[in-house]
Amino acid sequence: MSVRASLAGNGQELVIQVDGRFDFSAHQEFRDAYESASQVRKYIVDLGGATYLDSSALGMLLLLRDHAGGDHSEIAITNCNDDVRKILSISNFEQLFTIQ
Amino acid sequence: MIDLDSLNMLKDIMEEEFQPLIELYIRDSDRRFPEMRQALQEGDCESVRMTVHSLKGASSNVCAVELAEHAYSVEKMAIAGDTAHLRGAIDELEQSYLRVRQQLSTLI
Amino acid sequence: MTAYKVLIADDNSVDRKVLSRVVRNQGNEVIEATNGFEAVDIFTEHRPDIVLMDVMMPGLNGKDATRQIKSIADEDFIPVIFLTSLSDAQSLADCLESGGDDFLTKPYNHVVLQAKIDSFHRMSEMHRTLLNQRDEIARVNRHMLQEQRVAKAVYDNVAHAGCLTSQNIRYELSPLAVFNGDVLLAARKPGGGMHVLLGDFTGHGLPAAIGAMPMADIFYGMTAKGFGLREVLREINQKLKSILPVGFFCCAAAVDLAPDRQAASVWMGGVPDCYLLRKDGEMIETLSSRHLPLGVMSADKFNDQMTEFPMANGDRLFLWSDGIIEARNSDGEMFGQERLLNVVRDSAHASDVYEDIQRAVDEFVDGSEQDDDTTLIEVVMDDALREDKESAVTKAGISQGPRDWNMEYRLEASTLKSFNPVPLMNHIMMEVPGLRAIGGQLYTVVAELFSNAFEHGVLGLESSMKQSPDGFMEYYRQREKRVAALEEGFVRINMHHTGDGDSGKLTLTLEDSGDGFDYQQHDISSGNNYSGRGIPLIESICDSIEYHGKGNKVSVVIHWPLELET
Repeated sequence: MSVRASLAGNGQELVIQVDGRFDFSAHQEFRDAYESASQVRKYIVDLGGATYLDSSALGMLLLLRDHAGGDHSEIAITNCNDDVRKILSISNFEQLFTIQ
Repeated sequence: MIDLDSLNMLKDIMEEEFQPLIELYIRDSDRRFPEMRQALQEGDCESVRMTVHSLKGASSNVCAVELAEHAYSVEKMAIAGDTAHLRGAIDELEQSYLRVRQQLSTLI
Repeated sequence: MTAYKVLIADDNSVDRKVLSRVVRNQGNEVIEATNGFEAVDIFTEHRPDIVLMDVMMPGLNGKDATRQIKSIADEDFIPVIFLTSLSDAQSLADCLESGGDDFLTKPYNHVVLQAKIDSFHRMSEMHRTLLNQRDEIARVNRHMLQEQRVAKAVYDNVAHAGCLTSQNIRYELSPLAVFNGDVLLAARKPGGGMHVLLGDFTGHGLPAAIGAMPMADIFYGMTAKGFGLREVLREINQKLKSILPVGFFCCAAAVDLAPDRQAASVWMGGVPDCYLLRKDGEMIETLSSRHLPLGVMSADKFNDQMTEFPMANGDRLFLWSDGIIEARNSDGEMFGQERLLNVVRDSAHASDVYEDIQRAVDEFVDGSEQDDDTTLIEVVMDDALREDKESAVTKAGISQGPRDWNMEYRLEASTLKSFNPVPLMNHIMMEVPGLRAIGGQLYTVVAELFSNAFEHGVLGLESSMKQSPDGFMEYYRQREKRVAALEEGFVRINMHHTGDGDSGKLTLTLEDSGDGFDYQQHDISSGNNYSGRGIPLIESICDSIEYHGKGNKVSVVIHWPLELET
């Protein structure tokens, strides 16, 4: 499990890449990734390398959304494989996030 | 024979106990030789060994380094059970000891 | 420099004297032993901090004495330093094997000796700290386990207070630790039917279970008072949203069984697909999660829409949390949705499915350590769920309850915007034992009358809009808009009841501030469920229905007991 963050789009976009099992062990690193970034308008959570998502990962996404402004947030979850996509759809997270 | 520098350090450490210590060493060591001979007579190499071992240890503590090494060689003989040579070895050891004894007596 | 208690065991008095002086010079307390036996005895009595042990001693030698001392010291770390003139590695190794910790060679160097004593003392301190921490941890742990046991007892009382033991339910809740994150609730509705709720809180343990208690409380309390499942879910969502931290939520599947209508409604948020099996077991219908889990959305965004489907007696519904899907075997493989579907498909009879699923999961995980919880429930539609009218009536005669009473309730615009009085009205009517048998129908009557009075009367919405599905959507959009803009208006509800304990008459009157309608001309038997004032529905339950004034006042009369219909 690893979390990498990088700025894009003139420092206004934060890309957070999560590889491996996205579960509770990612908690601190995931939080650190977005908490220190300021002036970010848009967030992209790249799950291309993520093999698995559990309910605590869903919780972490909700925390990010809360941090990013709740209903006014702009968060895209990208590169989901079938399993990850399935988990997100069962919880109907496409109602809260843009899933690509 | 005696490492005088070390002995002086020992004197600093022992302070007022230095003299009693040397006197104790002499008293104890004087006794060792009759013990060794007695044990040898009985063919008890193990007891010989232990007595020589004690002499070795005490001697090194009073800085009689050469005497300690000499005792070690006799100890090895006792370990090997070399009764034939032990009698002579004990005599030689006693001679070494007596020289140390003499030197120590002058220092206290 | 700290003062340590040092035991010096050496049969040679010269050696002993020198060492003793050196150690005392360094500020320590010295106890002397001249042989192995003495060393052991003195150790036992004085418990020194450190032992300087001569190896070669007559009688009990240094190594054996050390072994005994170490055994007496038990958990405590008491270092033993061998005094030796030995120099070869093998002999030194032999010494250490007996439990000794270090060597000091003759002649004794006081600098080296001090360094060793200090070093060992630090080690001793560390060791003691470790032991204390270990004991503290063990104590706290025991305490926590005890608290958890008590909490679990409270939890069980609240969460399992329902009717999970009803004949039409089979369920399995397998707790992993003291708490698992899963909850199963079931409660009979006052007018017949049942509410069932399966919940799966994020995480495990205490944090997960803490949300379960208010949830269970709301579920049972509101169901008993006659609230609909949509309102129960709404209330639960709001409660969880307010008490759970962001990121924590409850995936749930809720079912409203209506045996009278031979139908069921389902709300699913965040749970995997569940299955409905018809009595003959031929077709499997899939029910999917349409909503976000409970506790995520704010009240204004919460979607309480349910999916209704026919459910005849003998039809069965299977609900589960993701614990089953994610159950792993010893290879780390997941059980998966496909395998589950296959088990359901391959069962010989619908009634075998429940046990087949249990067996399949047990066999699959056999040998591995479960890392999630398996929660499974089967709910069968059954006639027994209907309220037993006969017994309810006979019971009514014996029970107490208000017989002659009159109640008036008037709601102004500001209240109407956000308060639904129907459950409260229902609650008041349910105080009459004889009315409980028709609780469900009464709820429908009051709900329908109030809806008419509020939506058509006060809000001025045209009922004809509801004739088509599109119009239906537009109707509710308009409704929302008008409620938000509402400033004036009222609805007045009056209930009058007379009875003798075995029978009674209830008169319900509703009046609204609207313009009414031309009730003489209106075609009241349209039979179309989308539009009309739902009069046919009310007519079947009430003995009479009368309009007054402009048509903005209506009264219905209900006699109980109702003639028992088929």
